Amino acid sequence: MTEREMDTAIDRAVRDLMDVDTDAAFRARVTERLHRPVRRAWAPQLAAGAVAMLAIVVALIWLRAPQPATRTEGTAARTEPAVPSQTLGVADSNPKPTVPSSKTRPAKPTRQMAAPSIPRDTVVAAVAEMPVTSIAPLSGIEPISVAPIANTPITPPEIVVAPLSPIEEVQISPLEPRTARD
Amino acid sequence: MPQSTDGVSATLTLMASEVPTTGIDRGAAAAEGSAIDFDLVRRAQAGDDHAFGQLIERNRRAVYRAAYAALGSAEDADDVAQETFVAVYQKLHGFRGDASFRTWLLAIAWRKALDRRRSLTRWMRLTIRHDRAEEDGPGLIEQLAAPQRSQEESLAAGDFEQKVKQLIRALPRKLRDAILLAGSGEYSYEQIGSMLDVPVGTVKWRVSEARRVLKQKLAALGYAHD
Repeated sequence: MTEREMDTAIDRAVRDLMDVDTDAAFRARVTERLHRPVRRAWAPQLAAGAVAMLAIVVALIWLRAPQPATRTEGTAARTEPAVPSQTLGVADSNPKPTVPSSKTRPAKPTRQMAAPSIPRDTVVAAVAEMPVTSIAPLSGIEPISVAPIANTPITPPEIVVAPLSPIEEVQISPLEPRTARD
Repeated sequence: MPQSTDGVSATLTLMASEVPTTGIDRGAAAAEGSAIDFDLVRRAQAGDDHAFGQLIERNRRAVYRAAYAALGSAEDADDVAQETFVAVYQKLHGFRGDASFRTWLLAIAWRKALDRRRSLTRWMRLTIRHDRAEEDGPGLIEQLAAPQRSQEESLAAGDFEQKVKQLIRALPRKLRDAILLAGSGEYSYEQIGSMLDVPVGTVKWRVSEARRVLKQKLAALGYAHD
């Protein structure tokens, strides 16, 4: 096969491939589409994007979930609030609520950190053995002394109003007659 | 097809340094068509829907073929052609006439066709179709690599032309787009350049390169030229 024959064959094949046309109803379809409400062409892409985002979020949550805080930290944080109860006996007329500092803030309990199940008998026995702590009565409230208000008369400073300057006379020149303006 | 077979062949075999023999006639016809389009556009801009209908009739084949060259599917091409005219109708008031209406229209059509070519839904549909085709029978490569008949028999049965078509479809996109658009006989090189967003010289090179690759593959299949 010569090169010219190949060229001819390629020309014919391309022409055949591109020998296509719309049908007679094409114009009617376009007209109908012009009067149809706009289809949201971006909807499938948006849906795909939303699904991808959701998958990423789920994956992130799933990856982060199995990282528990160490149990010793959690235990320390839980036992800490018991400490102020021993100092209750000290006379403190205005006790402030204990705010845990940022360093000693207890870690958020996770699903893996669920408290171990303790038998009910053990708890009852532990409570029964606890020493009875006596709470000292509160001291009386000291009376508040308020200094009497001095009864001095109020004398506002005198207001001096300067007299207004005389109004200058306004000179108004007469308008030109209408015919002269036009 | 409005053009003669010779005209199309001349377009296809045009090299960068050549000048088409029918260039003057084609240029005059294009200028006349452009003037008619321009008049119809002005009327359509003024609210004449009948004028817009005429614009559709005059340009629908060019738009459809551009979309078909990009997509290779009649169904998708028809849908994209419709979308193009709807978009053009909505943008018509913004058309100032800096370029010819057809060039502007084809650029929009090509962009929409490329968007469709890249779309996820189309990719999924083609993948499913491809999978089914694989189940049905041997693929293109197997068919091409195992010629069971002699060249003469194949030529007589028209198989050779089918193989050329298959090779064209298997070309890299840039080369395939260029050779199909140029070979349709519907567009000037300037219009193709505007559609593909490349200089005219690049379009001509791509057409020439596509032909070279096709001939090389045909030679590899045993259709060697003397």
